Order: sequence, then C-alpha cells, then structure tokens
Amino acid sequence: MSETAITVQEQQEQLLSNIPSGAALNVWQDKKAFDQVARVANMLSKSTIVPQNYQGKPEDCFIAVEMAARMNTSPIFIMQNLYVVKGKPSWAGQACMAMINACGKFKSVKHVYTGTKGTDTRGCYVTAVRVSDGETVNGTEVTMKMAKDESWITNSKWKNMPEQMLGYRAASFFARMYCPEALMGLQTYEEVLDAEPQQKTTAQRLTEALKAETEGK
Amino acid sequence: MTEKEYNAAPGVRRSALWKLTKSPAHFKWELEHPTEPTSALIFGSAAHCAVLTPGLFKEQYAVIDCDLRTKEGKAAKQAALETGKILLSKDDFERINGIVQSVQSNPYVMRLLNGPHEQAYFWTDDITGESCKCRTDAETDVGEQHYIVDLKTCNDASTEQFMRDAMKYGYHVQAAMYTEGKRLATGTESAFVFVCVEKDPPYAINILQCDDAFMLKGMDDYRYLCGLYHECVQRNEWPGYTGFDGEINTLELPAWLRKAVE
Repeated sequence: MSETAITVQEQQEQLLSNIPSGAALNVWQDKKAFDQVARVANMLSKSTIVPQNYQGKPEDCFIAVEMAARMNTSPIFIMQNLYVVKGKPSWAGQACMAMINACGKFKSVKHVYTGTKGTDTRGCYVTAVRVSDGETVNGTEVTMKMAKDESWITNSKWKNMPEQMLGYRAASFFARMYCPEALMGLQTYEEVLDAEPQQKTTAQRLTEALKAETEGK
Repeated sequence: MTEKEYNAAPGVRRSALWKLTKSPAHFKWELEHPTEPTSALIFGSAAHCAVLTPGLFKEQYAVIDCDLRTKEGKAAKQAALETGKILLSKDDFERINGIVQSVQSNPYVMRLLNGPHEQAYFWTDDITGESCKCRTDAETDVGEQHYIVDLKTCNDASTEQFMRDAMKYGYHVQAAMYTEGKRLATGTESAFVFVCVEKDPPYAINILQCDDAFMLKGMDDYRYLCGLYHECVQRNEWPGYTGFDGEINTLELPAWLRKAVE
C-alpha cells in the first residue's frame, strides 16, 4: 500500500471515529452530525480504496456512512456489500450472515445442509442460539425443489453454484424471520436476481411444456 | 365469422385505436377515407391465409406469373379481379411458400397454431363503455395455460428488432387488448405469444412470449387510447396535434442538443 493510501486511510479512520453510532446518530435532524457525515462521505468518495461504484459519488458514500452508523458497522463493509441491482439497492449474499452475526442477537450462527447433494432434496437452513433466552432457532429450510418451484433456477448461479446459493438464501430467510431490522428493509442481491427473471421463466415454462408435448408424441 | 362480417361488426379494433397515437384527426380521416392496402399488407395477409387457413388461399388469391404491363398480364389481372381475387406476384407466392414450409417444419409453432383460428371477440370496455372487438389468429392450451398466438411476418424477426417494431406498430397494445377482450368476453385468462417469421430466406422463426412489463405497457396504452377515443366520440371532436383545447406546444430542443446551449 502506498504512503498516500495509508494517510487517506488514517484520515478516514479519524473522521469515522468522530461519528456517533446507532441511535445517537440522526443526520436528518442534527446539523452537526449531517455535516460530519457529509465530510466523511466526501473524503471517502475521493478515495481509490473504496469500491469503484462509490468513487466520485459523495451522495452514495453519505448513505453508506449513515447506514453503517445505524448498523454499528464500517462504511467500507456497507460499500463492499451493497450493490444497486436492477435499480434496487441490494445486499451481497455473503453480507447476510455477517449481519446476522453483527446484530448481536445470536451466537453460534451456522448453516446446516440437508438431503442429498445434487438432487432436489438438497436443502439448507441457518441455525443459531438466541442470546436473549438461549433457545436454538432455525430459519426456513431452502431446498433445490423450492428453487425450481419458485423458478429461481433460471438464474444461472443456481445451476453453477447451488450449494452457495442455498446458503445465501437460507441466511436471508433466517434474517427476514428473526432479525429483519438487520437487513434494513433491503433485499439481497440473490433475491433481486431470482425475482427478476420470472418472465424468462414464463417463456421457459412454455418451452418446457412444448418440449414435453412434442417429444412425448 | 368471415373477415368481411368481422370488419362490418360494430366495435373499435386495435389497429384503428393505434392510429389515434398520430392524432384523432388522422384516425378519423383514415376511417372515412380507407386507402388501398399496401403491398406489404397484402403480403402479410396472404401469408396469414396460407398458414392459418390454407383451404381459403386459392379462393382469395391469384398468382400472376407474367409482367402485368404486357397484354397477357393485363388479361390475367382482369380475370383475377373479376373473380374478386387479390393478385400476388410469383416472387411473393414463392416467399409465402417458404414461410409455410418454415412454419410447418417447426414443431413448436405447429403446436401453438394447433387450435381454433380467427376467433372474434366483442366486448364493452368496462371503463369507457366503448364497444371493442378483436380477432385472434390462433388459440391453444399448453399445460394449464391458455395462449393467444399471433402470427407476424417481418423483415427481421430478432427479439430486439421485434421489440422496436412492437412499440412502433402497437403490438403491445394488441397483446393487452386481445387478452383483455378474451377475458371480458369469456372469462378465460390468457398469455400472449407472437410467432414471428421472416419474409425472406431462410424464413427464420422467433417465438416470443410477452412478459408482464410488456403487457402492462400495452394495457396502459390501450387504456389511454380507449379513453381518448371515448373522449373524441363524446365531444364529436377529432383534433390534430393541438388537442381539444387548441393548445400551443413548446418546441424544445432534445436533451442532448440542449446541453450545448445551457
């Protein structure tokens, strides 16, 4: 890392440390907090270390810093995990597990895979121990059959890396059920992409139905 | 119902409604001054007939295999016109044969066209109360879904070009209006599929199923056009570009040119 980069990083860290976190931050009502976040956002937008889609965009960086403060996490984490997919801000799949871990409500958070690998029975759910009462809670199980029935499968990632996709989806299902606030109302990247090709699916369904009929003759 | 009976039946059809997008004045003029069909339109209708109702083709079309300017050609033309047939050149006839063969060699297209053809529907638009009508090329059930299938002959059947053509000629309004008409007239929900065949060798085929956004855009435009039509009928006014109130429009530069002066 070059000397300049280190200096920029140090400056960022110093500025960031001045930003109050969680409920203490209300940039929409507190002018001082707003100015501070705006300064940080401006600085981050000039950095070449932040992801490219945030470079030169202080407004986007502002949102990332504000969200990070509310989530008690680093703006860099937000920037690396928040994409705009099909016009919607969406979390990266891997961020979901990190957010479940970071929200502080759970411990021993892990994926449990079920069924036979490579078949429709293959599934995955997330299990965790709730800190407040020590109870083990399980998220909804996501299976390959569900992916097919819901037509997520048209997203090629379900064909190329099904295990990974099951894991991502299981994490977002868990988060939606037990800590929806951690996702801040946003969908995950995979959810947006899975929902998107539904129309292709309609055409695909027709293709499959025609194929079945014409080959069956 | 024959095409003649359908044409004479009351109700506004999609191709007429689409003319309102130019202006109500154009719509009215064209309604009152029908022009001779263009050669492209004749070709499209003939191809439709050859594919969907081949039994009627010989009754409706005559193929002229000589120069229409010659004596022989003139006589052949006269003979055809006297029987009420529409003339097709040999070249067009060969291309129509090419289209038929291409369609027949595609099992999916044959399956999609395997259902009642030329079904006419009449309904009253539930918002404006206007009478509407449509006639589907073909209808079929595949699996549990009912499909309305429309055959289009085109110069370029690629998905990208067909989308541009759809927006230019209002095919999205057709898809929305036909499914809406079918629903209101019979209660059946349908999906809409275009079977596009190119007019020239290799007579390539594209099968396109309309997605939700395409249908929504079609429904929006249908609603707008039906509303505009209703307004024109109610007022008995058919304005040109200045609208019902004779408004003056702003002549503004497009965004890319405006940048140069701002």
